[in-house]
Amino acid sequence: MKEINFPYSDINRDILRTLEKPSVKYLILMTIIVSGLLFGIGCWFYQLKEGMGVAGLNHPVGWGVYITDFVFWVGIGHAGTLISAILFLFRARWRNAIFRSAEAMTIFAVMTAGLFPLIHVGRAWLAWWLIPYPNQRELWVNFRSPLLWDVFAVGTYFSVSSIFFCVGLIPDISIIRDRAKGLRKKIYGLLAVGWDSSYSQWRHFMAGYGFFAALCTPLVLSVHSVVSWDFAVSLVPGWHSTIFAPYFVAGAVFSGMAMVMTILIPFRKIFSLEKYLTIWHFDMMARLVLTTSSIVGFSYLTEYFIAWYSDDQFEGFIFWERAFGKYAVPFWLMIFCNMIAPLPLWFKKIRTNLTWVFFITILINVGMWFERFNIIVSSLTQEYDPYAWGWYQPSWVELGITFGSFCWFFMWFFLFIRFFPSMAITEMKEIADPPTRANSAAQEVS
Amino acid sequence: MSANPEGVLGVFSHMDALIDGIKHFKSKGMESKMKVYSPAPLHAIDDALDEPPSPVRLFTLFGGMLGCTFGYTFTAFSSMDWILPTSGKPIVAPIAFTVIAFELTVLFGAIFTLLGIVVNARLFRKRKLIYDERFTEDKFGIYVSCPPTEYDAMEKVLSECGAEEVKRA
Repeated sequence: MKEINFPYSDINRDILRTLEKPSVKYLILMTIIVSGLLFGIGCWFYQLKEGMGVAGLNHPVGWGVYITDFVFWVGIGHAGTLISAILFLFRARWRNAIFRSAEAMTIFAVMTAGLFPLIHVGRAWLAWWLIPYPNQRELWVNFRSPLLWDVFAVGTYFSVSSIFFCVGLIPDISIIRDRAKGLRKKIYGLLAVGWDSSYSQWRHFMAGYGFFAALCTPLVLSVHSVVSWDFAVSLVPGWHSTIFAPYFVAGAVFSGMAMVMTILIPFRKIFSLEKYLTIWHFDMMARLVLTTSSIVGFSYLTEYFIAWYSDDQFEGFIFWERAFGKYAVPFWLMIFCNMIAPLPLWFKKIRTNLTWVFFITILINVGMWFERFNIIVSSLTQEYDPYAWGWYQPSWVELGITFGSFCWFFMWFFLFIRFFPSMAITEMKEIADPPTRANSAAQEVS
Repeated sequence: MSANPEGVLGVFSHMDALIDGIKHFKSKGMESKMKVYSPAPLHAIDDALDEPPSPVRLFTLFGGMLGCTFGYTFTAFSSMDWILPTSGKPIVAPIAFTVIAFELTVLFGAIFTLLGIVVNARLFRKRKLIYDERFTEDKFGIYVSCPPTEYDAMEKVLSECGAEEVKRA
């Protein structure tokens, strides 16, 4: 692990450099992002004013781009928790340099995902009806509905990952506090909640951190399973399948890892962090992408096999229509981007060439969005009764809100990297050799 | 600095020197008077301090059990309070409610773990002891609480263990 072993003071200096005064480029980028977000908000207000008619949703397709976006964004979040919690329990040392930004991505992706049910229900001001609380109508929510499981799953996921993330930030915030001056010192001092880096704190912190990781591990597997049950518990052909939970979880990690790489490759370049985010890190991430790509690809094939083997006419029909019907383009995009495009990653030369990796991960992001679109829309358009068939095309309002959601996500991410260390400084120190008399003497000699 | 509790703080550059210091004070039976600072949690220091496991785990356990119980009882209670038949499904459906109970186990477990950290690590309190801002960079430290009459002797001990600098409260 020699390549990511640096003296403690270098780690502080190099990572805190990302918090210095932002460049003009950053401000221009931020302006573009915020304008995109404002456009998205404008689209949503238009929908609130005019009603759901401006979205392309109608009978029989009641779930469209909004639910696609919801599933897509929840999925993006999964890689962050995988890296921060599961790889923490496995003591994978390559996680230390990347987990903070991946975890931040989780929070912002779930924040984005959480908007879509609100947008999708139309009358967003009644969304609090989803929450069970004692009320005058003496009504309670239906706990047997997968949609309500989802409220609890996503709500818990957001709360627990936020706690995990914020607690992990405390020691790093104290580092900023101890270097800052004036008002910044006051603000970071408040945020550091009295952290003094003493062992009477580290002991409890590390114990708690381990438990957070242990709690997040089953949680992350449950969240996308519950999301998949929104579909699988129904009787719609193409949805009613027991493979959905593992298939969705693998897809979520797949898309999330791709998004982490899509973001980290330019980030590393802009802040010249090549020393810390080495090719080795990207190699490891690419392997995970490759593994999950194989699971996802295997699931696609299994679905087709079962559609044929079950001899269920409706199931078989839907799967035939997915590949050769009206929605063949999203289907083949999904197959190409998720099954075929990641194949070059089998070669180490490609895995360690960041231009290629960047290009492939963008394709994966596109492919995974279309996978959800494909699952949701193609099943709903042609359910059992041909009399009730109907087509769906996303409206400009839906696409505008989707575009806005990307801007919303990136806005939070860019704000985060400006104000907080996007690499965990203390965890980088944990894997570096601590300063001892012996290695200081060795340094002086060299 | 007179407002601070009485004691001396040795600043160390090297982890092995710090560990020598910890061992020295432990051999004198002064664990309770000593506070160790480190820029990162390190196993070697854990081993030298050899403290019992943190009580945070009990918080997590309690939170998890509370969440699980609450998850099942709350869903059962609210289903009985307002009977909402959907197809032939049972009104109190433990299998369906397991999802909610699981999520609440994790949620309550995490909230209580947070509480455990805050209470045990004494967060959200004003720092009273003398401190060195380099502890969050690359220096280690041992703080020993003692009356001012022992400052000179303690300073000598800390320097002998390898402290490069000794501060007095």
